[in-house]
Amino acid sequence: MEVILSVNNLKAVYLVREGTIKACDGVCFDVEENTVSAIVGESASGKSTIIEAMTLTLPPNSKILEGEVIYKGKNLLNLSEHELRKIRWSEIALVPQSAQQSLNPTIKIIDHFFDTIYAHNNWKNNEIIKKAEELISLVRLDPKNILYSFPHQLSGGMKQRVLIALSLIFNPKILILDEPTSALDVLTQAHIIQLLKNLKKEFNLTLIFVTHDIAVAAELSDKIFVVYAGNIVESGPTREVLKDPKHPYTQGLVNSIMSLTSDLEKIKGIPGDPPSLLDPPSGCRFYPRCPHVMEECKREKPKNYFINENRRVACHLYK
Amino acid sequence: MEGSVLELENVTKIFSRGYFKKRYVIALENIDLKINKQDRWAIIGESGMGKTTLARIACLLETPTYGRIKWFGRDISILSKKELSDLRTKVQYVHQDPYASLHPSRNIYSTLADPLRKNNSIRGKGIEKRINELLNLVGLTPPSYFLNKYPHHLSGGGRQRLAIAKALTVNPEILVADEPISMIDMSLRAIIIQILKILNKELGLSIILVLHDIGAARFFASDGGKIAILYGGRIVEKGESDEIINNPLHPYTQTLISATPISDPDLAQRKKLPELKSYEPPKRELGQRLCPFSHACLYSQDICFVENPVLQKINDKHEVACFFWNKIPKWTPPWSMQ
Repeated sequence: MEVILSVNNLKAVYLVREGTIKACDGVCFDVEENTVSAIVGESASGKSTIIEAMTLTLPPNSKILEGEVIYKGKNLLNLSEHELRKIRWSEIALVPQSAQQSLNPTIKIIDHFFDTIYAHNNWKNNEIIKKAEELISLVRLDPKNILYSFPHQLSGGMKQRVLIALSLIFNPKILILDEPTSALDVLTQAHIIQLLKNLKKEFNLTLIFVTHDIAVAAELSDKIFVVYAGNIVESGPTREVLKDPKHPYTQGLVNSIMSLTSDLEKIKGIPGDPPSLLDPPSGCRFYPRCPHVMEECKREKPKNYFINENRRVACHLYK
Repeated sequence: MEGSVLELENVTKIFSRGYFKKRYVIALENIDLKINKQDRWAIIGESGMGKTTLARIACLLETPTYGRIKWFGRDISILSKKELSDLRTKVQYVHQDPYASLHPSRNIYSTLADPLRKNNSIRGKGIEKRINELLNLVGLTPPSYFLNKYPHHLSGGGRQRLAIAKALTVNPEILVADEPISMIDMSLRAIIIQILKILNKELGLSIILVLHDIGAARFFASDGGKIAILYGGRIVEKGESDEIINNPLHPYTQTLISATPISDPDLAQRKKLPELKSYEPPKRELGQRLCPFSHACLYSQDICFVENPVLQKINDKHEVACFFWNKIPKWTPPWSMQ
């Protein structure tokens, strides 16, 4: 399959009073067309930073140090604001985290559609209403009702669906979602997963989503990127990575999931705490918690080693 | 097993809302729950189903609108202030958010030493010894390294361990934990659950764990624990953990299990979305009699909308509140082979 988006050596930091938080440290990955990629990591592992850096939506106290994000032969990080506007939403759309806060509480849902379309295009009003109704019914909501409600009248799952509908206005090629199912009930979560699966088929979308829940990644994704302390430690097809994890962190993570189908005898957390990204450990960032730690892990940052064509592990064990 | 240590009899909690307090929310309705010594209970419910209210009422952080609460076989409403305050230390509560439940300007030593001084007779060297014991118990080792640390030096998992240690200072017999793993890192969640299990098995504490994650509840309640499923403020199903997980009888429990994502990629591919008539949360007027799940249930019939189903005993290990539990199709896990 063709690579549609390629991220190379992306480094981003947050500048805070205590120093710099190295939240995204040399991240490389490729996304193939019409696949679902999951970026999985714990809280504060830098998983949201990766997609915010890719889409240039980082908060003001942050800085992208180096790296490139190649889309259609162009490096997004070098584009001017004007050129970027043409790509945003119409080619690459982003559904931000916390759907609860992403909608403007003072205007109705239909006005969100108007505002968005006015900012990008000049469609006629009745065209906009038609499109909005079409999209809202696509995400299985009732357009007559929803479009004329205010955000506070909707439940969390409805708001998440409205945001997904909004993101699809200009038929983007790539849809990036930050934690699409967190803070939702189990049933709503199952619905959103199903919805995203259907949308992917219907629109030939390429989905990239961030989650902390491996079970969600297992249900939805084709490819998985495991993030630990700002690095991608392992990547590959979801099935292979979860069935036969190679990196000690992924192994620990897979064993720590308390899923309904996991083996009760094997469930075990990873001892130790995730490192502070203000002052991450030298060498491999996982070494203080790693059961297979060697001398060289403390000194040297592991390179990416290919296990097979699709699978990559950043660990000295696989040299 | 000797008598119950905590008993809720017919507990109902109604919150009134709005400017004139004319709008009512029924948070809990007719809850009967009996917790024996050394029991391990997982209470499962989605948001808004009343699980936090249940935990708070069990600890007397909230008073029930109707109903009776018994601690160690004694009705707490007729106890004197003195008796109640003596009993209070026996029932401790672990809060959901370890970032808010610990005093930020107190180090670990003083967080643990104060309740020890106030409630126990130990003094001087004994206090340090007990703190070391507690920190070892919850896995903050070596204790000497942690004594002078402040909560902000700890990660979410570390804070939650400290919160558990804090609850243990007064030698409780019952621990009620409200979603203790929802705010902490994934890789540490299993550890916290493991600690609670060890407290139950080795120290003989009765533990009530309130959760929304049925997978974590299964791990917590495995081998000998019990599970209660809350929906719309009522217990719809309760019993031994293995029974509930492997043979759920209430349509809601079945839906919940089918909807929960599973981590095995092969099995996950086989799953289908559970079908329901409606995906709205339950709504009910004050005094209305109905099954809270009737509006969404595929099998609901006329009686479900006019009568309250009560918990009926299926066998020693299993109780379910559904009129048609033996008439609905037999349940198979959605990931099993067809």
